[in-house]
Amino acid sequence: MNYSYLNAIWITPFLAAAIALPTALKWKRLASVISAVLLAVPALLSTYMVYLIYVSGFKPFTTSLAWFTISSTSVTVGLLGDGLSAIMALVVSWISFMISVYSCEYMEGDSGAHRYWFFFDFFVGSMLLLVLSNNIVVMLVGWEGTTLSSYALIGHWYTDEEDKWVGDRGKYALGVPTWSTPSSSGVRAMVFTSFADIGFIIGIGMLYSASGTLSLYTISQEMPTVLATLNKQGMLVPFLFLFSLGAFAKSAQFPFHEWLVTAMTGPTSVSALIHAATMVNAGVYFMLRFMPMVISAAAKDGLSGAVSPFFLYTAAIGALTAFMMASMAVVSRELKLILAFSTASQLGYMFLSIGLAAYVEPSVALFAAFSHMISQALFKAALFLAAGALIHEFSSRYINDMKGAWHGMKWTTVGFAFASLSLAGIPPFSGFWDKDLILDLAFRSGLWYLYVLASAGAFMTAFYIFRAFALIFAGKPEREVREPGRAMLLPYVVLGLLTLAFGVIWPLPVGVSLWMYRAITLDSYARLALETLPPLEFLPLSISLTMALLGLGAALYIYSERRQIFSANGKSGIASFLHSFLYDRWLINSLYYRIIVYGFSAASQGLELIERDGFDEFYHAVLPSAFSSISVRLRGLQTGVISKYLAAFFAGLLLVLMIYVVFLLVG
Amino acid sequence: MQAEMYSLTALGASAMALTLVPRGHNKASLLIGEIAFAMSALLWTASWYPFELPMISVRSTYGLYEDELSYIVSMAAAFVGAMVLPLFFRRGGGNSWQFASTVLLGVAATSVLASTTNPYLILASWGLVSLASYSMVALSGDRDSLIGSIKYAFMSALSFQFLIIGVYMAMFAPVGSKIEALGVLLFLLALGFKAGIPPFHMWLPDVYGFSDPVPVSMLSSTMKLGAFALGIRLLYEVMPTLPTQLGYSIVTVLVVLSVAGMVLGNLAALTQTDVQRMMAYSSIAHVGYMTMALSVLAASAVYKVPQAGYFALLGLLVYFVSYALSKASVFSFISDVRGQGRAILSRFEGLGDTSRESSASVSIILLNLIGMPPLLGFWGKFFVFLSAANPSISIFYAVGIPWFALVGIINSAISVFYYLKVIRAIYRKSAAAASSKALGLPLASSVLLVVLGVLIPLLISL
Repeated sequence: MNYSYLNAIWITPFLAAAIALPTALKWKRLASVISAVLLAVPALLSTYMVYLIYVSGFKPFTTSLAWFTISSTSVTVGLLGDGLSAIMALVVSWISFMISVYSCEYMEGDSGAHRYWFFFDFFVGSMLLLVLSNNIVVMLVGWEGTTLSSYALIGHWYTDEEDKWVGDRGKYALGVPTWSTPSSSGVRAMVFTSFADIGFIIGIGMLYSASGTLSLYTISQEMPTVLATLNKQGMLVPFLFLFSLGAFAKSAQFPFHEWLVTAMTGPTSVSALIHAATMVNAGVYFMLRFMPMVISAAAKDGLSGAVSPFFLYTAAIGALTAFMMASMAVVSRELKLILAFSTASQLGYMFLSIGLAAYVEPSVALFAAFSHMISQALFKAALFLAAGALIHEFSSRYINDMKGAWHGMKWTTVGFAFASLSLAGIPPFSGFWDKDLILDLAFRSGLWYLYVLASAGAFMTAFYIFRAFALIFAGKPEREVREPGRAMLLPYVVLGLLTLAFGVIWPLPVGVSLWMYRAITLDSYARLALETLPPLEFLPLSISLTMALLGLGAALYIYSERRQIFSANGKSGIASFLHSFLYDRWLINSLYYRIIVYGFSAASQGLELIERDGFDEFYHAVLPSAFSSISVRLRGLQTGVISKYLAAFFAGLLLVLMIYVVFLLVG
Repeated sequence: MQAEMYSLTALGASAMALTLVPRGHNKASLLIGEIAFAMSALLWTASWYPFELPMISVRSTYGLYEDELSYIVSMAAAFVGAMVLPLFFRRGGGNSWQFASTVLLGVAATSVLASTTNPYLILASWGLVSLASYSMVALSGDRDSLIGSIKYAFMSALSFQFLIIGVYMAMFAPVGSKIEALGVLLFLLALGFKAGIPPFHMWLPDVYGFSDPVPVSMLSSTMKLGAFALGIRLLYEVMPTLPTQLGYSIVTVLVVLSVAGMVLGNLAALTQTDVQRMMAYSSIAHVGYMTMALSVLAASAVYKVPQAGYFALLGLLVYFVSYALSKASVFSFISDVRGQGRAILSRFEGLGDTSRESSASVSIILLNLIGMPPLLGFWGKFFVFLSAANPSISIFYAVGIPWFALVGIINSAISVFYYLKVIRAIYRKSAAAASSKALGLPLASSVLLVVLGVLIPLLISL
């Protein structure tokens, strides 16, 4: 059965990009419609692909077309059709479609529409290529394509008007500016992720040298050999660490989280697509693709103990990020920043879950991460899209300027509320089920410190999102606000409803979650063992639910009446220190700039001094003057007096005779 | 052999014929001279054919050798003489024919000097060369030339003494004796004078630098080639038979002289603003490189390394041609620019626009003097330095580094500075620019240098 036509899933968006660019130069409206329509194609095709996999009883398939060959290894372009990639493609393509519809109205009138649509479509194509590719090099191509589009889209408004900035102008922390303009944010995004991609590329090299292949399917077969070889060389944990470095950065885990924060300078639709629902999930997809192979291969080789440090590291970073980002969101004043922190925080939960795969049942842990990824895609996209509408309506990015939106924007309130409840982890929304599963796993793993961090994070999550909700929607509006047009309104309302629907279906025996579970384990190339989904234990369940409700309640209580609890001008010194510490993003950005950027700058200036006053001075001043003076002295020998010339002749005679005599005597 | 005799006869006869031409018929004089050169060249080429002669031979007829060395020197001298002759006639005046005589005689004498080891012939030809040289300079008539000529004559007389003593000692002393070695050393004094090796060079900057450049162009290019050729032959004959210590002494002297020449020549030229004087010093430097080759020749016999000697001789032959063509062209160009005044650098500005062909040719020639590949000058220097870097000759090495070759290379690098100064001046934009007529010699030289430069590697492998 030839499935090559399914390659259209990732080819169509590229085609759309090529068409949209010249079209948008003249007919902006038409270009946006074309893009949206063409993006429906991958959405429909990927739905069909999921159906195919389901119908075939989850037999994975692959197609391939040789691209180029280097010394008997060929890089092929093709499709890897298994449960994981199919579901990822489904989620990515549908959300992309909905956001493209949203963008039709959101980006109306923008002068850079041609760039926007080109990179939007290019991004979708790269992302789909990434998740569907059956060859690791082509996956890298997709990976880097998303980096490029992300850079371009974050810096879309490169003329740097102040209302597009992130952060407060004029605010410094440790001598480093805390605000960021679109142009610098784009560069930051690229630098952070590209730097970590070095690890990814090195990892590909190590993988290739140990396995001799670049095809994902063959790699999964060869994984036991690979792990054994690397372990013999003592490179097992370094390899795992390097290889997944790109994933960590892409998914904005500590210490690479900074780019995601300032990426909010881009259009909100971009934030929704790239920084909530798709690109940041690329890192999670990466882990979900490769970690099952690693786990099952390690079990086969008896190396489970050897790889567990890496998984502990992953879990720890995940938990830390979750906690850290949530704490920053609690004090943030910009709506998109809160959502950005939230994204990084939720990704932290996913990484925590992946890391726990070495400590509990692996398939369950990985499934929890997968499920949370899908939930987060749904509710975060909804939140961002709603945020775009709100920011546009209130003409401000600060939540303090938004008040009483409930009165004019009822549907928006509903959509936002649903998504917030899901994020906070309130049943029956989908966010409740998977976050609880993750916390349950953390509880059972025995790594209690991670559990504490994660639970604290859960409390703060509920707190910050309902703080935002209360500040935005409660109270009396200062002026008239209206709902946005249908093209903008529908996508996030639909997404909000979806998150409710997904949550309702999740635990039901009709088997949607079970089906996803199978998709990621048995029927992916990794073939993990299918274990029974354990029931959720009572204690951790009650703890997390309590945390969530407490957070929700506290936030609503404090902020609907706009009571000042945490403020910068608090009376207590500790409180205000804590507030500014959290507000300045734990001073991490400032530290980076001071140490790395300013450090290098100082070193460069020092070197310039050496070069200028040392080498330059020598070559251009010292040497020439030395030679000039020698030259002038030599010329002075020519006196013009003939007797002196004759005398010189005799001097020469003397010299010659002396040499002769010396050799005569010595010899 | 016959060819040699006939060509010499042709040259000599023409020189005499010139006295018979009535005053003022410059065209006729010029014609006679050119025909003489043409005939000589033809005869030499015919005799040279089929170009299978050894580079240097030990068989002679009537005391005159027929080998590549003698033919190359003779041809180079004749070619340059033929090209320079019209320049003498260009300025008009009654005594142009005298110039022509001196040139013809000088070329003839150089040819003999390059082909012989017979002491009598050496003395006669060397004397004739000297006579022709300082007469050539004096005939210009202006004060600077007269002074230069006198200085030259004085020192020439002194060096001639040493030539006689040296040559006779080398020729008639018992083979391998100390006297023979001393003879060679004293001969080197005379060679040093003729070629312009410090500390015997003191006349050179004055003569080359201030006198009328037209005779200087003849002087600087060809008159020293004969002396060098003689030096080569002498070393070739004497060195293999000498005991090692004496051999070392000769090599040492040559090395010292060579380094002195290179260093003095290049460094003194660095800050010159008078281009003619700069070229005088550069001549000293080039002679230094040629002396390096001589020292390698000597050393190759002492250290028994024929390979080095072969490359040194090869380099020297190539160098002769390249040097003769270049120096003659440069000085004739300078004479054109200088007019009545001095050839200061600023006078060259703007020539790049007004006289395209001249400027281009002269630039190529200056590049050749630098030693820029693929021109002929590069190959000359290359072979000379290559031979000096031969690892079997331990005196040229210090701590594993071929210091002698390195000194040569560094000096070549230094020389780039002052040559480029001239090229840069030529191509600088200037409102008040003189214009130079497209001279035949630079043009022909530059073409030859390029062509030969490209062909030489191929010819050598044949």
